[in-house]
Amino acid sequence: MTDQSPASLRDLLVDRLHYSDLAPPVRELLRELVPEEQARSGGGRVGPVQLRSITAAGWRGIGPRTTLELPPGPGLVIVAGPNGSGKSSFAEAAETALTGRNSRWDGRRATDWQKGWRNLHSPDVTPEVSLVLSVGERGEAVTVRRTWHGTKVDEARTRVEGPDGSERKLEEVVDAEALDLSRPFLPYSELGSMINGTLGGLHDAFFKLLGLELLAEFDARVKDTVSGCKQTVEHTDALTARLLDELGTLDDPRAREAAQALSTAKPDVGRVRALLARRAPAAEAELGRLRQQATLAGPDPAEVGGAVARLREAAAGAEEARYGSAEEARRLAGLLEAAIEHQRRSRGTDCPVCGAEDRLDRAWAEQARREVERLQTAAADAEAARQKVAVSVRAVHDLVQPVPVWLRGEGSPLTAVWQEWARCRDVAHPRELADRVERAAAALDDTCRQVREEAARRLAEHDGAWQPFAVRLAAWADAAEAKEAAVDRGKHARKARTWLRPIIDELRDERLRPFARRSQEVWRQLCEHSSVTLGSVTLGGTPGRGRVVLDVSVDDMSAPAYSVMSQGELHSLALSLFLPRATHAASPFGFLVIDDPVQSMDPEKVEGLARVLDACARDRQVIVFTHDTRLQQAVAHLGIKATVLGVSRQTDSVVGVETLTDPVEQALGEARAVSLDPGLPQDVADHVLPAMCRVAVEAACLETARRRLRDEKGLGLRAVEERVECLDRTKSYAALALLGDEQQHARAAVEWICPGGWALIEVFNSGAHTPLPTVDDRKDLVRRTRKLATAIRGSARAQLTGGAR
Amino acid sequence: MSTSPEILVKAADRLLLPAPGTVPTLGPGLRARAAAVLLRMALDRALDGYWQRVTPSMTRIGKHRMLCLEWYAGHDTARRCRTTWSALSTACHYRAGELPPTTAEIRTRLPEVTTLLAALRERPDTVSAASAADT
Repeated sequence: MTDQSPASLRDLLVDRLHYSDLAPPVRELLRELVPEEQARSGGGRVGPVQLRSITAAGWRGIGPRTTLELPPGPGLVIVAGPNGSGKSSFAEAAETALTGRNSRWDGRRATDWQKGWRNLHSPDVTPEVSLVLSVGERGEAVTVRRTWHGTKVDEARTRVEGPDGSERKLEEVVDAEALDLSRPFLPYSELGSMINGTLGGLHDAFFKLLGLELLAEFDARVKDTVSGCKQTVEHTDALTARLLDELGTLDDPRAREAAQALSTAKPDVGRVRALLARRAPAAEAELGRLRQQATLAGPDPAEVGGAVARLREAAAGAEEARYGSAEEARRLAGLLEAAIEHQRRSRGTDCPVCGAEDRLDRAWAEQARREVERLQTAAADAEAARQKVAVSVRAVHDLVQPVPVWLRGEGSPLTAVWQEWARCRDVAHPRELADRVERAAAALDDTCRQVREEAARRLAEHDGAWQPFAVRLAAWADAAEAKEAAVDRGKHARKARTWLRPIIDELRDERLRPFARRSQEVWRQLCEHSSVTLGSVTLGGTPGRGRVVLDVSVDDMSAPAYSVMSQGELHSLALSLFLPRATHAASPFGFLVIDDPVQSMDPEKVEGLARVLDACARDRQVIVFTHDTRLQQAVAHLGIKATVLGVSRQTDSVVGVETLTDPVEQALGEARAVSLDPGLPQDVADHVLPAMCRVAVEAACLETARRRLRDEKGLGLRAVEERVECLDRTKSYAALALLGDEQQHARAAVEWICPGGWALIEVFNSGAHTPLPTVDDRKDLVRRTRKLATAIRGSARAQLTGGAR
Repeated sequence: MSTSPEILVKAADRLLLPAPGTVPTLGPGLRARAAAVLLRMALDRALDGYWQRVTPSMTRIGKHRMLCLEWYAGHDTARRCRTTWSALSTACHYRAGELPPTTAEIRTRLPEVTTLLAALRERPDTVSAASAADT
């Protein structure tokens, strides 16, 4: 089966688009939306991976460390054992080691399971699950080991080791994405639940597997465009309705005009834009002026009042002590001081000024001195009062501000009042100044307040009512234009979507077809005579939220799968869906692990299952766990080559593994049974027994050759199978098995490991058989064959351990 | 011993699918088991005939006859023969505590038996027997 289509999905889509009859804008839109091709990490990058062995210790039903060795190369391995023997523990160990998780954890009983992961009988055993894989071009033995450091099931770490013990990265060994997409594990819990539980998950897996994410993304982009456009339209409509509603409450000619423009069936964006543009510059200048007026500050009445009061007080003080009397007092004081000085020096008592005698005595001097002091104090007081008046006048003058620049050119009442106020600076007389300042300040303050209030009122009219609308109308105009674009784009996107849907379905069904066909094949093989038929398997629903749709019919009446199917049929269906996915060509896994698919199948389904597994096992390791002996029986009856490993559990979780049969034993067993029959005529015995023995020897050679090519020649799985497929004669089988080269002559090697073995091989090939007249002759042939087969199988192991040769 | 395998198959068919309008006197379980006996007998007769043409005195042990058949009639015929024979044989036997086979179950074996009868009418092919082993 091929799933690598030659053309990329993107090219296919673009091609379809080119030949579609879509309108040009729709086509353009789709071209714009079609996603780029993503680089996909190639599945099978590291070559196929197979299992060499599964080991578990202290894990679930397994106590002491136990290893399940698997034969090399493709083939069917049945791991059989009674219920509770630890089979499923191995299956879960394999899945857990590789994926770090287990599907059982996700189920409803997950908590119980998560608690019970540890084996109860072996507290002293360190829990561990590990796998030895054959990886890559050289079939290297890589160990993936998961150990626990805590008591919870997820408190674990995984270590990956190469053949030389060096640490590797798990991603280098196993592609995590592939592990998800081509999951090689089918646990029992999923067999029954696939129909109602995991069809969605299966859909997603198929979707990725088939490289259909591009379709999903494309679809999502178109869908997003549709909903995005719809949102834009709805948003704008809501905006229009709200604006209209509120414009109605505004008493403004502009609002009425805007409302008219908005209420037409197709709102007139141009008109609104024109309205906004017309108003803008004039209104702006006016607004600037109003804003200035609104913040206009006149004189502070409290401050002015204080200054005027201080001025009046100073003026009153100065009037009491006039400047003139201070001067006079100072002069008089000077005169008296000079007289006292004269009296002190002359010691005369006559006044030198008026000539009166005996007046300038001691009493006079004391009185005159007191008078001098009084006069000096009075003079200083008058001086201070004069100073105080000057300061007060200056303070009042400082309060008076000139007319603001922006008011000067105006002939408004405010300017006149302000000029009157400014003129106060020219008044020097304290009383006059106080009176005028008081009047002018009161008048100016009053006028300023009126102007401010008026400006604020008009500003509020502008800013509070219209201005926000202007802003909103501008935003609305943008939205309305976006809406016009969105309406068209949305229309195109819807058309595009209608066109795209069937094409997506068609493309994905086309891609799925090989898988669907394979599912139907498997189903037919399993349920050949069931009244339930599996028709088409398609991917339904929208990408991302889809599920696998099964066309199930009972006696030609279609019906939902889970309601009409028996448990055995449900298991068969699960297998039908699991196998194509797990065995598709790009899967990097050369193995499948299936846990107990036989349960609840009737005998015929078991036969079908054996055939299906046999077909898968031609190029894959198929490891099937079962407690049911019917699969082994069917394998024996159908002559399917298989290795049967028996798992048995003794007390305390000690689990043993033994090989019950394998292709060599199968052939030898049949040959032995026939050889013991005394009723078998000689001609039949001569014809049949050497052929049966040959099958046994060739099976031994095949197993040995696979082991030797892998372990000694370092060949990868593919290379090994290519070599093995070319074998035709028993002699070349032996040469490849013993010497690793089918071209060489194997006689010496055969004789070395098993004297007389070469003669036996010649008996198989020549056709000129030695006659086998008696039962003893026949038993001897089978005995010699067993000896040779055992020697051949032992040779690879012996050489590895440095034994023979 | 003269009844041909084809007549046995026809009888089995009638047991499994009674003609329209007739009411079968036997229960379905019994009819299924009887049909299984008839079909296995048919297969045995066909094998008898086959071996008669190969050798005058073939062993009577059914398993061995079918194991040897692989080297005369080919892997596929021999293995299908053995599988069908074993399944019919299981259906023939009474086992306590086990349900009898259903008619539907046995009916699915009938076309297989018919196919095998046709294959066993072919000439035994001893020349290519060796190559049959390779399959």
